Amino acid sequence: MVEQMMINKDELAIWTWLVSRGISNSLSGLSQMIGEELSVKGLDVKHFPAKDAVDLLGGPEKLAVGIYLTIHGDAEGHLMLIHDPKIAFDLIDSQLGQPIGSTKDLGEMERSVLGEMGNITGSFFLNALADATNLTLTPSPPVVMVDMAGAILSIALTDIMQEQDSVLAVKASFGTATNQIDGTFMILPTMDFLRVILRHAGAR
Amino acid sequence: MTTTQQTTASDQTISVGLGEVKVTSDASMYLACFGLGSCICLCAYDTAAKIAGMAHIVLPESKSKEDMTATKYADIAVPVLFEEMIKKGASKSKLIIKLAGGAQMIQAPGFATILDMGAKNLVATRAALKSSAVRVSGEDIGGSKGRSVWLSVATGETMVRTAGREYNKI
Repeated sequence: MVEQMMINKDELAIWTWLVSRGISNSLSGLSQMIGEELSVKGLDVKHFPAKDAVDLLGGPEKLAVGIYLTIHGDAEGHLMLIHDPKIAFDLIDSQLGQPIGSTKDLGEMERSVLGEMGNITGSFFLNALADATNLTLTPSPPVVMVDMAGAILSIALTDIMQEQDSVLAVKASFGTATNQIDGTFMILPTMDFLRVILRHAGAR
Repeated sequence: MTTTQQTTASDQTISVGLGEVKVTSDASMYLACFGLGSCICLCAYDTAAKIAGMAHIVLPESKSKEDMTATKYADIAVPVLFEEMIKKGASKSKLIIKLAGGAQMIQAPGFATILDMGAKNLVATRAALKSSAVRVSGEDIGGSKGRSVWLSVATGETMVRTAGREYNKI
């Protein structure tokens, strides 16, 4: 029997507070890495049928750069950083100290820069969640890919759909004051992940 | 107008989302699966009745064989697709079957549960097709990149586009 992801209003408020705290911590880490102040431009926490979740990324065929990590420890889940390829390439140029427009594809060095972004994002996000819940949560090494948004997102959705047909997706858009480095932070918890986190946050 | 040009027109496509099965005889339309990773797009076309069907398979095998709404699973989606097509007037013996998808999106170690999902989906889909006594006549499978697939209801022509590449007719 497939379970549906059930979460009440109070639990949703606590989950939103927790992820806001996590994302804020992630962005402070990323700001240090890129040397520019990043802030959250929009935060969307929505319950979706799994088949519709890709609409959050502008449609399944849109070409995107994805940095993907899984969460391990006391709870299992998925984290993704999704960028428009042009923005990801500009970010790499800025990190490697080369003229904007130099990066056209992802080689080993370019993947390493994005992977480091994933490491910082994942660790800082999970540290904030772990502090608030007293749980042990660790990120996997990041995987960097350029592909259709639907194909990237389906990596997490395939795992989630083994247990449920809906997903509580968190989409956070972020950028600098001039909006030159914006991206999307997707958090896709399994039902088990939510259950564990909410119980330890005192909501269950 | 060619298939390649037509497939870009969203008002002419019926999108088949994760775990869905759709069947149509509307000759002005294309059935389409967008952004497939490890999922399988199963295309079926009755050349005589001009009825097209498509399943977007996400997972290999269901735990309960009785829940026929669970078309995200290969072992449920395959028989449901054929039943729906036969209900609309298709004949199983006249079906042309094509497969696309089943990519291994992540090749790094440490992702055990999702590492070989594409291969598992292919094995389960092929087993279900064998049980239904139908043969696959074309495929674009495996690899490590996402795909989109279009099936023309008018002609049965099946086109696959892999991320960053040209269309491939299967």
